[in-house]
Amino acid sequence: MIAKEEWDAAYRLLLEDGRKRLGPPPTFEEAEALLHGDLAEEEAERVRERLSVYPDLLRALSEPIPSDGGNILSAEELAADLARIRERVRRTPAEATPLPFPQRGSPFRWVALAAGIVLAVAIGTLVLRQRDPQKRGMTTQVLYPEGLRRGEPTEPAITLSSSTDYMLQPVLSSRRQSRAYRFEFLDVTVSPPRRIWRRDDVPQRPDGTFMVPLATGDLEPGPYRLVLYGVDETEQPLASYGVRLLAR
Amino acid sequence: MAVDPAGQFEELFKYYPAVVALLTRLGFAREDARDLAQQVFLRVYEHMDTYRGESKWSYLEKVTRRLAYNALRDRHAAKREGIPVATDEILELPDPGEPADVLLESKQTVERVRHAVAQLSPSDQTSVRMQLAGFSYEEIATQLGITISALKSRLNVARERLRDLLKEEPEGWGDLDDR
Repeated sequence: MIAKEEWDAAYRLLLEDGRKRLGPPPTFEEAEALLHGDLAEEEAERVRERLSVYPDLLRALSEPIPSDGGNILSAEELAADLARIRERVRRTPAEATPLPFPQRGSPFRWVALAAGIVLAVAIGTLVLRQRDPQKRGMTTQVLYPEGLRRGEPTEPAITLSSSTDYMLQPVLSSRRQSRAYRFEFLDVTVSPPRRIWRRDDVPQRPDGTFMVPLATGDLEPGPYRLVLYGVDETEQPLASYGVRLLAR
Repeated sequence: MAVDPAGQFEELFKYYPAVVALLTRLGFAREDARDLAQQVFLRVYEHMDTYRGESKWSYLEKVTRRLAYNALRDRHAAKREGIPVATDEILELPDPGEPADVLLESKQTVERVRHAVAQLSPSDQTSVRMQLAGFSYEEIATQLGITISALKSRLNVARERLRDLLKEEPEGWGDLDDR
């Protein structure tokens, strides 16, 4: 009889074999498309096979979210985590007014504080924008890469306003490094998309993001796409980021 | 209808402990889970303008799963770039104090199982691997996009094929049937 431990050991070897044969796990976008039934059967089978040798990733897709966290965090830990989130939020371009931070209290007080911080950020942004409507400001906007499912973006496009210019901060989640990076900004209202500008040799920051200025004054309202290319011996697109410019 | 970002964020932050709990279930150490949960909420905050209050839980769940998935994927990438694991290290067989001939026989059994499973069709291998990973019938069927009865049928075919290849009943795997 084959012992359970032997099955387990064989299973671990099979995972290693499978990973060597099938390569890296599918991207989240591929896995999500599989779950939504959006892939052609042949492609779906390939994604399933690759996922099956990464059971922890399968669990990340299917593990039920607990209805509540129970007592996983003490009130102090919750407060500390909220303080860290607050600190990160404060680093966003619109500066929040610092709020007093009580040392003890129920978790819901921290929720209320978080709400206050977010509200302060929102109000601060509004006030800054209304203070001098003639002067064009510069707003930093973080962009996350969109996945493609049957050619359609899986993420809603980030909405931008034509009343301000932007310092776009696209995030590159891939760990793969390229010798150089360049960006193209495309008008996607026409087919094929029309290139509006191109920026070469854009340096990657230590946190994996880039800084790409975007002047919106001369752009027509509508959808656009920023495409990031890795430049090595050849060029290949690494990520794209959808944005929609509104006329205001 | 105007969106109230502060109010929406407040609603979502109630789920923060649940997000940490999920991330620990997915194998993240407690401190890593807290750090990742903060990233989840920061990202939610940054995208509040795209949130329309349609379903708080599903919105948060999507962000959580995406970040957890990508963090785990990054770990695999880091492992691939590291030192390859020797086969003997993977073979964590029980009781290394057993006599050498027993251990050798056990290793040979493991190799026989490994090669037998590798001879199944790709789709059967996928089903078998997922069952060995401990997923329930329901979970596997959902992931494979087939009915539970179709999955059972597929696993029965795989089991018969394994019986032929191993020249013995593939027991030790059958106790999974109770899940």
